[in-house]
Amino acid sequence: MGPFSTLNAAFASFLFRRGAAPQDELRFVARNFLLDEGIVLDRARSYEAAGAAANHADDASWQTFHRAYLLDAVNKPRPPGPGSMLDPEDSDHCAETFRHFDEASPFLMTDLGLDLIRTITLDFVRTMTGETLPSLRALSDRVARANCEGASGGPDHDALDAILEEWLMRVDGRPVFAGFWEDVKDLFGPDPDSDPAAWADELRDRCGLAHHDPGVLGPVPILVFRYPVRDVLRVRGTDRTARLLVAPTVLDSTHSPAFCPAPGSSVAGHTVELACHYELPRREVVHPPVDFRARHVLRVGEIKRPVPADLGAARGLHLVYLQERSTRPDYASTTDRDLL
Amino acid sequence: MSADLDLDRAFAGNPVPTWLRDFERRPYEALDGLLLGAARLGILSAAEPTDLLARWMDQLGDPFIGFLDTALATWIGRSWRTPILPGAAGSAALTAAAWIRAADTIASEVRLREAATELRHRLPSDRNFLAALGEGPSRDPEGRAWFAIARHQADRVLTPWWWRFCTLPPDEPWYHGVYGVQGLRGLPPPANEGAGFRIEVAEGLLRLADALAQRCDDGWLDQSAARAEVARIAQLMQRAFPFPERWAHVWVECRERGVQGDLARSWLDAVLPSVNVGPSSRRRPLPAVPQRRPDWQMRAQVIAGSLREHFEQTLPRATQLLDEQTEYAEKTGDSYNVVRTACSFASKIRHSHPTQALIWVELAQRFDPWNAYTWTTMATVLLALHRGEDAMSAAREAFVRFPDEPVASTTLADVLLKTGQFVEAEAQYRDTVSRFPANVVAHCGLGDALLKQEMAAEAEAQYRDTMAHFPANVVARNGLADALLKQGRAAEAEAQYRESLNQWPDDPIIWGGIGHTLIAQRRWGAAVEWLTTAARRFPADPFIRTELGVAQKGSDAGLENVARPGRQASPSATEAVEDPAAQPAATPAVELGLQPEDEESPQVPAANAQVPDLRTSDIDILVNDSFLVRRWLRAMASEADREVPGRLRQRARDLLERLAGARDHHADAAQAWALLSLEEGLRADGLTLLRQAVRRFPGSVRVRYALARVEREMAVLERKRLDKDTERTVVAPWKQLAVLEPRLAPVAWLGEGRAWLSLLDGAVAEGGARRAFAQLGRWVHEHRPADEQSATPGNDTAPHRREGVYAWYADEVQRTLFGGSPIRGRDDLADLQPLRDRMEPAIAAQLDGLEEQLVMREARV
Repeated sequence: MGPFSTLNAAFASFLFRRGAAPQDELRFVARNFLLDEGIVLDRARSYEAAGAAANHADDASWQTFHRAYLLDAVNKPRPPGPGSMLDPEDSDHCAETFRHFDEASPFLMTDLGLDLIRTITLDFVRTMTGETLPSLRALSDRVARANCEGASGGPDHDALDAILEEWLMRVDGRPVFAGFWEDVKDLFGPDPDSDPAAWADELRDRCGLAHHDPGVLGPVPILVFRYPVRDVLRVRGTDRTARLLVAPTVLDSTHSPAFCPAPGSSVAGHTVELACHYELPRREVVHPPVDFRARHVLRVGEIKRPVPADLGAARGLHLVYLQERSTRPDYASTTDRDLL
Repeated sequence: MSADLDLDRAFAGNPVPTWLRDFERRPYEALDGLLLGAARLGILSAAEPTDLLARWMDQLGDPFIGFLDTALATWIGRSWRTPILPGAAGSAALTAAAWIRAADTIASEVRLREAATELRHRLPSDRNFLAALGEGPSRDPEGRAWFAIARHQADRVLTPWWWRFCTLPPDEPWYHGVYGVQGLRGLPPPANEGAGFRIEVAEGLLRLADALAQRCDDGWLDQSAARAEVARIAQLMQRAFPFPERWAHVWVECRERGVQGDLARSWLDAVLPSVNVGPSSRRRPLPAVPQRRPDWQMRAQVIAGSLREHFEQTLPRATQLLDEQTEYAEKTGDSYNVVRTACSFASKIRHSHPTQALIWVELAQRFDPWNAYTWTTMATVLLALHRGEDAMSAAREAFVRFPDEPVASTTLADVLLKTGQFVEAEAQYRDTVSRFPANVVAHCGLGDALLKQEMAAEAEAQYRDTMAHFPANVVARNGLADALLKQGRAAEAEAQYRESLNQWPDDPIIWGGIGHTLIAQRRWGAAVEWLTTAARRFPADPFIRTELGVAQKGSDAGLENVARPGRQASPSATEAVEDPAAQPAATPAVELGLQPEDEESPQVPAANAQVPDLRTSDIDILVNDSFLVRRWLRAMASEADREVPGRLRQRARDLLERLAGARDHHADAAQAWALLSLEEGLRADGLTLLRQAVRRFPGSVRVRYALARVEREMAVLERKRLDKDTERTVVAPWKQLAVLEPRLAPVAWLGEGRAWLSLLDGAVAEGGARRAFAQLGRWVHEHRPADEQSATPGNDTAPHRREGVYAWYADEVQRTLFGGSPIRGRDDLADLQPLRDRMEPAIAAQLDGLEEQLVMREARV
């Protein structure tokens, strides 16, 4: 169990109560807070100081305080102008996620040439840039195809670079959730025409992106980036060849029912496989911001299949895997007895 | 209100998202929850609220969009001016995020017209509300709101705003320039132009490139950031208007005009097509890029020459010229001509036709609110219209915006004098004299202000001092005569006038003055004779005519008591210097409907504590007033033989009470209240408020500055020692100031150096002070005007000539802090004792004033 199970009795009581309620997926979020062993004490105290670790009257109150904490402590505004490095001493601009990290983490030594993968919605880009969806989709698709052919520049690249720069100017310095290319590369052919038909649905399921649900949103257009670890913003005080990739915690993002924290001994997180395939869960990390560019665009696609209905089953399977992999047969046994 | 969305049909039997159900029942509440992150979203919790709204707008179409539009408009109306929204868990960041989400949603959908209209209705006049929540380009609710408005334009009313963003005025962050170009892009095309390429968008980009280059040149912006900004916007605009031939045409013509600086040109060369050839261009000539007309200057001169005398006949030509220049300015953003012409015309007729003058000066100010001339002209025009309060507002604003302009300073003093605020006028003149010792208008004005307070002996001394320094100045001589007269020394006054007459034989003021002194001596016959001659020479002079009447009556009846004020009861020293011919006979302020002359005047704000719903313009007035009152208190306190008048103290206390009602809702009001409380000895209260305010208004540079200053002052008073905690609270805020607004780096270095020296204990503090002052010294060395530098002994590396506000500021810092020694690095600061000596209260107060002046100018909020 993580520090929130004991740090603040009122909050722990709220979490146990909320985690036991059968109503909806938010119960998994409460359980995650109890479970998460990756939260260092300083961060837990910061969360408490923000008023988020309390005996909330309802979900809305908790969510609001959680969002406020995120914006004040994690999704920091990016400093204006160019920045080549993130300074953990700079509390105005560095997310707490990267201010308290284990200097012995093996992920600091991740090969800079290793590729990561990140999925965002095209809506995220277009609402901040004023682009229309069809033109953005068409441009991104041309760039993705050109990238497959080894092109690294040209008018389309320039145009998409400008759009992505415009977008990133408006996005705060939030930690970036990413997977490893190695874990999903089988979903893609050598070019878009060779991809399996439902690669976008499959990618969503593997990466546990339950909030991309066409069942309630209609088809979700997505943009997939593939980029080397080298392109992640460096953190001051770390080696030139090191990049900060850490296991995500419940304090690094908004409440996500499809998230499940890794046992404390893990260096990476693992995504919950939404389709309940009992396969090796895919690794997931968070890292400092990346200046995404056209050259990073791997694919443009559309998620069409609704999220499988039983998130509880997916979580149950995921926890079984974690217990086996971490040799912690009791992991989550207190919080998720109903699923195990 | 509920929304009938027929969700079951829309989702065809699939589960309907909980939030949509909530929205259907209570649209406003559901939207509020979504924007603040409190909505019930189930597995969609991790999604961006803006993404969700975009998806649902796409999926559900009009019924949903219509209800969302109304809910958004309501949300904007209810949330406006609430620094921290009730459901935001006390977080300004969450409030800012909600505004950004609302704005981005509006920007993304053209059918959200009602919400866009609501935003547009509020933003331009009250933009500081959102600015106070901003923390750079990635958390910039104000910028996003402008973007939303830019995407929803059905008219061209906001054109001057967009040009203003493109030119990056001093109080605009560099990353707002893009919104100027986006705004021009969103304008409906002019009536005579169809859709397609838009020259004004291209011109906007060129202007922005120049403005960014200027920021780089001034040292406030990294060149790589500026270059990337230009490249990105150029790419986006060429994508929006894919007409390479037209872009090339504009760029080639612009290059030929040679108006672009080297740096901006190098950036634009890299991103704009520059070869203006191609098959189609040979077939069909491209429309001309708008140009200045070569005859404008000549026409403006001719019209200005006859406006005053032949107003009715000249007006149509003046209007025609201004229309041409306005059209050119709206198409190109080049407002130089329209601003200059409009101000010149307004100035010419400000007394004879002040209503028309006001229309013209407002036109000028609409295009260029960062032109000092527009503000000082505005103040004098408003005075002529007997709108004393408005004249004061314009004069205050001019002073705050242009601290380096002596005319702004004297105009304010002059308005104070003419509105009967004599103590304040005296303080303002004293402040001006100390900052601009070569300014004769201020010296004379100080004498006038003393005279108006019945301090004739002090006025006499002031005039004599002025005459010693400016022997050729007639205003000082006439003032001296008036001061002598006020002391009952009419014969000496007459002698003074007569001495002046030798030098200025055609000055009607002197002629009238002599007549007046003769009357005062009851030399009726001589007075009648003198004034009869004077009236023949100056038949239109009302003062001479009046005096002649008095003399004749006295002569007839042998009047004993004729002790009346002379002509220059409140002489406008500024106007006398600017435009002697335009000077009408002085009219007492009371008659003008301005300020009663008694000390307990109603113009001083009443002491009613609570002002629950002050308008933004009211807040601006209070904030500027409090800034000035503190300056005046300092100016008067620095006069060893002059007690600080109770009227000023009372005014400070009244302001404190009025600001108290607004300090929780307006960043400016919080800052102003806190600094006034410091002045009034309520330091602990000020500190408490500012610590709260800095969380409430994270984007307010002014609040951050005030907090840093109060912390430093407390450190001095409490003799705090240097430790981790005091370094964090006393020193670090100054560094953060420069991060938040790079153009305040000189203030940050000055403040930081002083902060280090405010802490007790040794080497570490001294090292910190040395570091900060060395940075400041280097900056000063690079920015001082060349002629000042050349006077510095040992100077052999004076950089190219600098001018403008930074040159002025550098010079002030050198004079006040470093004295005669140039500082080029830490080696020049081996001995810190001279700087420690400069921390004594009187100089510290001057340094406070210097810090604050730049903050007030550069930071809008």
